[in-house]
This record gives sequence, structure tokens and C-alpha cells, in this order.
Amino acid sequence: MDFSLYLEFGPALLKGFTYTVYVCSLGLLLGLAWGLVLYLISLRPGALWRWFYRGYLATFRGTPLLVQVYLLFYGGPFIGLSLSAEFVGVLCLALYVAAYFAEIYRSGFESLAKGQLEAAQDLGMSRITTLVKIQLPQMLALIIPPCLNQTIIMVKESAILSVITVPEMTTAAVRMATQTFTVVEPYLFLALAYWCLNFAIAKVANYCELRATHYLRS
Amino acid sequence: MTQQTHADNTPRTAVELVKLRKRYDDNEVLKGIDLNILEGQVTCIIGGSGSGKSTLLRCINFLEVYQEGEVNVFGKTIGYGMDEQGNRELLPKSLVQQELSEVCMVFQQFNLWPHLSVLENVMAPLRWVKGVPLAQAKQRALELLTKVGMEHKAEVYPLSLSGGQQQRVAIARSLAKDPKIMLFDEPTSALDPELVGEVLKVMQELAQEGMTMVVVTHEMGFAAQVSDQVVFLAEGKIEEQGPPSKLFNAPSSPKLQSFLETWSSRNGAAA
Repeated sequence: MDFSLYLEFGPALLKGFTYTVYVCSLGLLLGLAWGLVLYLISLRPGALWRWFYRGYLATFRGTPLLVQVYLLFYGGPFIGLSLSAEFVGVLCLALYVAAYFAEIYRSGFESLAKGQLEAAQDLGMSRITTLVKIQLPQMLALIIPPCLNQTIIMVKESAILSVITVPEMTTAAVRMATQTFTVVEPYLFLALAYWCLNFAIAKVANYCELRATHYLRS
Repeated sequence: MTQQTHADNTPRTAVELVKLRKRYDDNEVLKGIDLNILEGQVTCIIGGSGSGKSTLLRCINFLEVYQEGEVNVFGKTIGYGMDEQGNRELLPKSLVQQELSEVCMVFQQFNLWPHLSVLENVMAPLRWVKGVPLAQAKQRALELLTKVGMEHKAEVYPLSLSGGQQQRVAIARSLAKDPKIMLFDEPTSALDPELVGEVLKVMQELAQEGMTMVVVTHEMGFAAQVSDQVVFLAEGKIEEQGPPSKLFNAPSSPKLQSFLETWSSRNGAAA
């Protein structure tokens, strides 16, 4: 181990780290939102909506993220889509996790006992009040663990974005490795950095889950 | 709760069912029900499983959409209106909810909201439906919880309560809607036997206060003691109806006779 290498490459690695955090946060937020839209689409009657939803899942869950990234970044220009690597990176992460989030939302909503909604209706509660006061609080508590899983997977998968030169931390580490002919120092940093990131995410999610499921433990 | 009566002191009709029919696809569950429920009276609906008694109750508050006939609550037809051509059309849910503002149901499975405390459950209809200010809603909810003997559990969550306690909270929550008519859908069927009594006691008190109650139940003792009218349902039709003394002591329908025999052989001589 040559720790002095970190003095030289530390700033670049840290910059990569912050960029990973940035890309993943954006991908996560967009993915959560787009996943909700997808879930709502899946609820719509009509074959066209259903086909779209199924096709979407088949595409984004059924193929590797690596292939999706390649196709959009290198294949895009052939159909007139010349997008920056950073844009493709965020977009691909979001499109990819949204497919999983949509299914997580579905399981969350479907797990609520129907009787709770009947009681709300019977007591005169409007649809929107029922959604906000009854469904969402319980559903959010239920979906935190699967969402956490999916987020951690996404963070690790974001390393794939290095293949299209998104300036995130894997790119920075690979550059360090090729410039210094070292292996242990850059990749040990990477392993630790991803682990720290996921550890922090898990901590936050566990805290949220504890808060949201307070009623189950009283 | 005071009982509203006409000048001549005969109670008015609270719920009227006219030739009510309900189908699930090809399966007709209610085959033309005619029934009159007077204000301030307790009507118990009994019958075997699959006889349609829960469906009947759920048609009254339109949790089940009936196809033919009418459900009238204080003279107003529930769930359907007329379009310009005079054809019957389904009303939007929000309108149906308004029509049912004086009706409330207590469910077999309580259906409390587990993420809200007992107090918040009871406050919910006050706060989120009627828009009562917080302090007032809280005070009213505590009054209602006291009424069902659950004020000491106001701050806990429903899942930590026994079934009987949950059902009493559910009754308090229904009362928060300030209904004139209460529907009970097998309110004690999900309870351990030793917890049935506490719920029946609360219901009996409500009946004494003059609440109009329609109760689907297997508790023949309760039906015999508390109800003004008993309706025996079999295969989607009213097989026999009348005062409890008549139905339980001198049933004329063979189906009711065998139903009561089965019941008493399973429950000893309790009834």
C-alpha cells in the first residue's frame, strides 16, 4: 500500500465521490417520481396502457443496465439523440430503477386491507383524504425496506456509468489505476466509498422505517 | 340521542327496501327483498352463511352496488338518480356519501386504521370529514371513547388492543359521524367468546338510547332480548320476519325451525 498516492489522487477521487452522490440522488428522485407515474399508468383501464406498462418492465427489468447505457449513449446518435454522458447516466439510472419502484408501489398499495378503505368511505372520507391520511402513511412505511434495497442496488450499479465516461468515482479510480499501474489503492478506496455511501443510506432508511412503523410496536 | 317522531307518535320509516335485487355476475344473492325499518327500532338479520344477510346490509350503505329495486333512507333512494331521459343512473361516490351522511357501519373486522392512535381514529371523521376544530374534535372523541369505556386507551394504537376493545373503539368512531342509523355487520363474529359481552353491552346501550340499528348477527340471545324485529334470510329471500318472541318461540317456516335447532344444539340452551 502506497498511501502517498492518495495525496495525489485524493482530490480527484473525492470529486468522483461527490459526483456519484449527485448522479445517484438525481437518479433516485427521478426514479421515485417516474415509478409513481408508471404505477398510476398500470392502474389505468385499457389494453394500450397495460401493454405499455408491461413493455416498460420487460425492457428495463429484463435487460442489463450496462446494455441500456450503451444503447442510449452510443446508439442514440443514430436516431438523432446526441446526449451528454452525464445526462444519459442520470436518465438511465432513473428509467431503470423506476421499473422496480413501480412494482414496489403496487405491492405497497395492494397490501392494505380493503376493509380500511371501506371504513373510510363509509365514514364519509373523500378519495383524496383517504389517500393522504390512510393509504400513503401506511404504504410508505411498508415500502421503505424494498425501496432501500433497490436504492443500494442502484448506487452500486451506478459504477457502470464509468463505461460512458460519466465523471463519477469509478471513472476516477480507474483513471488512477491506469496512470499509476496500481490496483489495490484505487479499488480499495472504491470499495470503502461505496460501502460508506450504502451504509449511510441504510441508516437513514432504517430511521425512517422506525419512525413510520411506530404504530406496529406500541 | 332523541327519537324523532311524527305528531301522532308513530315512528317514521328509517330504511325501506323495495324489491331489492343484487347479483354478482350470474349469481343472484338478493332475490327481491322488501323490508321496512322504523326509526328507533333494532332490527336483527339472521340466517345461515351465504343467505345474503351481509350483502343486504352492505347494500344499505352502498358498499355493494345493487342492480334492481330501491334502498330508501328517510325516503331518499340511495346510489341512483335520474338522468334527463328519466332513466336510472349511478350517482358518483361523493354524492352517495352525502346521501348516507346519517348512516354508519360497524364491521366484523373492526377496520380501524392501525397507523392512527385510538383517539386519532375516533377524531378522524370529525377532523377530516366534518372539519371540526382540533380541540373540539378531541373533546368529542374522548366523550365517545368514555361512552364505550375506552377512554383509558386513547393514546395507544389499535393493534395493541383486544378484539372486543377494538370493536368498541370502532363503534365510537362510527358514532363520531353522528349517525341516525347504525349498521352492524356481524360485530362479534371475529371475537373470542369472552369478549362478545362487552361489545353487546355497548350495542344494547345504544339501542336503549333510541338508535336505529340494523344488526346482522349470530347472537340469538342479543336478537331475542334487544331487537324489535327479527328478519330471517334464506337463499336471498326473507323467509320469515316478525317480533323476536314470535320468531324464536313459534317459528312457522321449516327453514327457520331447522336453523334454530342447529343453532341451539351447538350453543346449548342459551337462547
